[in-house]
Amino acid sequence: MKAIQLEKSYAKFAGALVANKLRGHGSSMSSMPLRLSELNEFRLPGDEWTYIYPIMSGICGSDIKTIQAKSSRMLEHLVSFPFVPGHETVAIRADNNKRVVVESLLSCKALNIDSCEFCKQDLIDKCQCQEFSSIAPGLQIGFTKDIPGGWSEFSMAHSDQLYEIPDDMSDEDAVLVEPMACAIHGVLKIQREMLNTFNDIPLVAVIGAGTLGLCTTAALRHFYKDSIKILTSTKYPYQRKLAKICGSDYHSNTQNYLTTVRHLTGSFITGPALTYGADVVIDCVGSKESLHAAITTVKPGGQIVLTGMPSKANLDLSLLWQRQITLTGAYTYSTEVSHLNNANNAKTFELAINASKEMGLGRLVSAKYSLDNYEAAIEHAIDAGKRDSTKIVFTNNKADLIKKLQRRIQ
Amino acid sequence: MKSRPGFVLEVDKSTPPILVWHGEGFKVQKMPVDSRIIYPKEPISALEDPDTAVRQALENPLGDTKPLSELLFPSMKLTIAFDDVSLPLPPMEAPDNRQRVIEAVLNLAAEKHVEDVVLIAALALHRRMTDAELKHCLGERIYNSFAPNGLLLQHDAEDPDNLTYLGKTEKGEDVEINKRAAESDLIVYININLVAMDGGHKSVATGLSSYRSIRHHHNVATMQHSRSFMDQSNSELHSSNWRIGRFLANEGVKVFQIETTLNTDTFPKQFSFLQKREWEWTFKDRLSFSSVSKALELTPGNLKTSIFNSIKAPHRLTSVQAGEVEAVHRVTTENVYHQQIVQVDGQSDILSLGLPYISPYNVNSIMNPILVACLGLGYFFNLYKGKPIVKKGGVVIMSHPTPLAFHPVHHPSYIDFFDQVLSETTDPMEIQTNYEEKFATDPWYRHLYRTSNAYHGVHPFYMWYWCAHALDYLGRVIIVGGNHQAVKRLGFASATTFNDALEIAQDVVGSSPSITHFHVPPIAIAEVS
Repeated sequence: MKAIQLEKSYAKFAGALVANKLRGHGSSMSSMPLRLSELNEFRLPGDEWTYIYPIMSGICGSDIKTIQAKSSRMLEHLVSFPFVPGHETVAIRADNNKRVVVESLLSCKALNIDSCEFCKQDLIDKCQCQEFSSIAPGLQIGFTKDIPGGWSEFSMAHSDQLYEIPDDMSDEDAVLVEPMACAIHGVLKIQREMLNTFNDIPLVAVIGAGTLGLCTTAALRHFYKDSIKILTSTKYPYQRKLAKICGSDYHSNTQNYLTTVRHLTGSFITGPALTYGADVVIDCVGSKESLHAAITTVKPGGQIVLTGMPSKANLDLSLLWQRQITLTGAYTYSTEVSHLNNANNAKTFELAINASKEMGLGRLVSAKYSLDNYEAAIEHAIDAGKRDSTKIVFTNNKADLIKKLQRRIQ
Repeated sequence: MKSRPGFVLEVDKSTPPILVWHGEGFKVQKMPVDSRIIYPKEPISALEDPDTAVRQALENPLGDTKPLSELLFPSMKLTIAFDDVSLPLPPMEAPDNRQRVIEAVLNLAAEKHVEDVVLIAALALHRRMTDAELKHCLGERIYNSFAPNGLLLQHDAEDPDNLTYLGKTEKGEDVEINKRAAESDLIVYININLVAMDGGHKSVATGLSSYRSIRHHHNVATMQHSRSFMDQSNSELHSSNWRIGRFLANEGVKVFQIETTLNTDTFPKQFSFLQKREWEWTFKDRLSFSSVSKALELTPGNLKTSIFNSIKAPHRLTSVQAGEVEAVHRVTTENVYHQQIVQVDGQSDILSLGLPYISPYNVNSIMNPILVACLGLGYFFNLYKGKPIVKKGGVVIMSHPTPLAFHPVHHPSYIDFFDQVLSETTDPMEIQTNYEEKFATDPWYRHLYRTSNAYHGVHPFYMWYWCAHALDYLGRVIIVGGNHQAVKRLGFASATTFNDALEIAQDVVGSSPSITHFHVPPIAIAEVS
């Protein structure tokens, strides 16, 4: 089967890092540790696992960071090389021919081990057992050498990780379910008391308008309806329109983000920060700059939800201390226990399937590539913003997949 | 020396390329044959003895009022208010008219042993003047006598403790003015009437007023019904100010108005070619033009701004009127017209404008995109009596680099207006309805207006409303040589050259449009028949 494989090549990682520094965002594919491989079929790791055929799989910001050697080495022990990336996947189940989306997170059940205290409560996002099973370490499918991710013609998943999707839901809407689940998970981490505001209506600022930022904007609007105002900070002009479609009330660009929050909240500027600020800031970028922007624009006593994948950052946290800001990490998805009634004890993925379909998030898919054309796909994803694009995906020919499936059944 | 009147040149093959302003620079441009160029009248003669003229005006007032000396008495509260840095343009060589007149008023006050005298810069919602600007406007002597003792004030339209609410006019306009002025036995107001719009009741009713009051005439409806601002009888802006002024008079607020006019001697000697007709340029003029243009091309942006900001105009006083507001203003307006009116026969499909580096709101500052729009569509488009130079549904082509640059101290709310409002809509009414109040009452803008040198939060809105009549009237606005991003945000079309602009205009005005270029500054008012 064809698959795009990420190797652990220190030389290539170093090359990617250098190319990245020299050329800013753009990186030369030749320095990337990726290759298109023909792999043998993997053995199912457990009885409750099943083979799946990816129809569509997204390229995520975290994939790009890993490819560009920009992700944190703190999580290196939870990755095993070489692996096939792809954790935003729509697929066909080999055992029943149903269309599914994959909850890629690897928790105790999927790892075939006894449930840890978190997993017992279905809080799979907090599970830290990925190193302690027979499956090679991997945060999620798409980060372990034992289970190929969605950038392939062939993958597998534990049956608990598969969510059937309605027939009338497009593949595009479905491929946005995983990022939408991450967004929902972040949005539902907003603490109720944070929205007790000096403003007429609470203001939630979203930093970033890539896939995650736009999904976060959509999730805020979906769950909070008109009870909050949303400001989305965009980097590229085309993102404004998308932010608005996703439910943003206001937008700003990166340069005027602080002054926009200031104006919307009637704040004064004091030093690098504001006297009031947004009630909650959701950082969907995770860079040093975005975290600084979040700290300087959230109200004293407010909350920052960090949804974007951060890495090592040299940051002055004195304002976090002095302004008594709550910094909340939001990683992937789980079972939601939220103050919002309609989200109580629901699986994030289930919420995301409904929300993505209802809001038509498939419109964020900007370009589709075949696996053979992976270099162009990755380059497009790296420069997505500059090329007025949001979500870049790999697709496999459905007819071919069905043929393969039929052969397997025979 | 008798000055030659303004006139309209019909362009033919022999017409040389004309000078067109382009922000902090200028270029020469060949106009199409059969187009027209409106040239301003040459500067009229200045008063030979301006100080005597001022004294005579004070003692021979117009209208139903006594001479100033008879209105002064020892125990009185006297407030002398004066126009701010937005006038004249460019700032004039010293002594400024305000210095000349205020010195005369103070001499009289001293003779009458008036002790309680306060000077107030009538800022309305403009930025506070700097010490250097106040010194230039008033002269060192006045500044040093009043400023250190706290007797030189700048009107604060956001200071609730120093505003007096007097009631509503018959049309429901709130009347609120500076408390010190309202409680004075006499306000002496000193104007520089650069254009016909300036002065009259607008001086106190706007200059010493608050947002609560000003919003009644600085709004879209008023601006769209001011046709034009230079023609008081057809200007709703003036009607409203006159109602407020008369209301003040009825409430016992006593104003002694002093209005001064200037000739159009606008640029210093090294730039004298800027106010000559091109076919009369001497060899020296051509050399000056070419060397100045070349030097400006090589000068970095900030330095270029500093050079232009340092220009002091050799304007000279041509008349001074004093007395009762309306009587004074009638004569002043005639004197302004005498200098500035040019008769123009009929309208054109296209009006071409070269926009210079300065407008009333970027003195010693930066001409940001909103001010470019306001200068072109708010001011130059409205330099008419009768009918606009351009036909309804026609096109205005403006030449200006329109840099995407803002003065962070002077124009903080402009930056947010540009980013947050114009990115959503350019429709003046929608802007007024959905955004004005939030900006006008923003505490940070209020703080900066009161304590720094920032224009009031609502000011960029007024600049946009100033364009409302033109925006409603025109079929298209094209900016030549402007920053594409800035021009697009303003809702205008971009063109690289004048010829490109003509091509773009064809969609609106057809392939053989009539074209008029308005060769200002120096300032002229087109009386269009």
